[in-house]
Amino acid sequence: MEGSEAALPGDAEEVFRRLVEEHSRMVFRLAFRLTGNEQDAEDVVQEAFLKAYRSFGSFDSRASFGTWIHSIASHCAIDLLRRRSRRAGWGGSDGALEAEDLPSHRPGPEALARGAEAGAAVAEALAGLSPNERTAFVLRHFEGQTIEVIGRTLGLGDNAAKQAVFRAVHKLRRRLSPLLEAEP
Amino acid sequence: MTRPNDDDLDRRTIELVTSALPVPERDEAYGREVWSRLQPALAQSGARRPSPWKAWSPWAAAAAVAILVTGAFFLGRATSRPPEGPVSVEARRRILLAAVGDHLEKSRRTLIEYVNSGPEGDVRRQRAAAEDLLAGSRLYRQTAARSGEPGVAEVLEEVERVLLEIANGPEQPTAESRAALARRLDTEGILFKIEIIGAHATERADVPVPRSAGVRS
Repeated sequence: MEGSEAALPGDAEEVFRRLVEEHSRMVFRLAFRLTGNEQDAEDVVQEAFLKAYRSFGSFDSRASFGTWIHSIASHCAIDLLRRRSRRAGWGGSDGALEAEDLPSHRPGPEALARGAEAGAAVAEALAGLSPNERTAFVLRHFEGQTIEVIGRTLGLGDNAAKQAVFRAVHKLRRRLSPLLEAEP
Repeated sequence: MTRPNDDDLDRRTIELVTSALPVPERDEAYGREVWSRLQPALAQSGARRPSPWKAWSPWAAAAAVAILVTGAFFLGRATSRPPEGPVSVEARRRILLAAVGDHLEKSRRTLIEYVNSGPEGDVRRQRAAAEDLLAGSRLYRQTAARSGEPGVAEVLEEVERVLLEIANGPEQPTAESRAALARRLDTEGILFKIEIIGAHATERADVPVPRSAGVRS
């Protein structure tokens, strides 16, 4: 339901401005981890707050605003990842995607130039996951979300969500094996 | 040397990924930048919707207007409406309650941290946090008063007074002054009121928006 599209009075807009200012950095971090790309993350931030503004009629304050905007941003990011996958011409099932198939997801020169070899390797390994796997991994292991929340975000049942997390870890482990073996 | 098992490798993989993925930094000003980019889009939000009238012939549109005007006249006699559109009022209430919920929770944490800190507590940070909360508090209190939420406005005012004391307080508060503030929070029931208002806000925000209130889905 997008029930609150009418223009808001000035004071409510000012209140919304504060919510945006307070939560932007958290939303950006989440969006970047999900998309792996700075510009895409910025787009997700913008889209998430715009959707929140238009959907306040459906806001349930049993969750905090932070939880709500987190959920909206996750949905925006997964939509973007899926669109990006389709554009890249990948039509297979989860589990078939290889890193080499999506060169546009690779870390940019900025990440590599930071000299963070492990960081670049991790970014590339994450880029090789399918949209569902990447989202499942980020929500589970960066954001500490439950399987139920992950399933809801991805439109999957609990078992399928759990499988997505499992596959993501398995693929990352395989791709990062040289780094893992080098560890003491 | 024993080979690590699957669970161990999974755990190390997760640790490696979560600790090594670089995330570009965004500084304190980032929220303001996002807002400045967002604001024009919000202003256009309503204007961008395509007009349904464009698809209608002039005669059909005129007939529909006549029916709507007649209907609105009789409906207006039977019902009393607030001066502002109900959707807008609902949106404003929910935005306010969302912000107040977050704000009161942060205020509660700041107050508890301040009164429970020992001499090693970071007073400068605590005062800065109180100062930051004050700006929001004034805005929420005024909005609450204008939005017909006097109870919320009243509690915000009480919390504001305590935050102001912390923000303007000494750089090195004594244990006695912290204990005095703790007693005051207790006797005036400020932390309790914060919890009550939080629960009340939740209840009120959970009231479903009635379909008859003009909500579009």
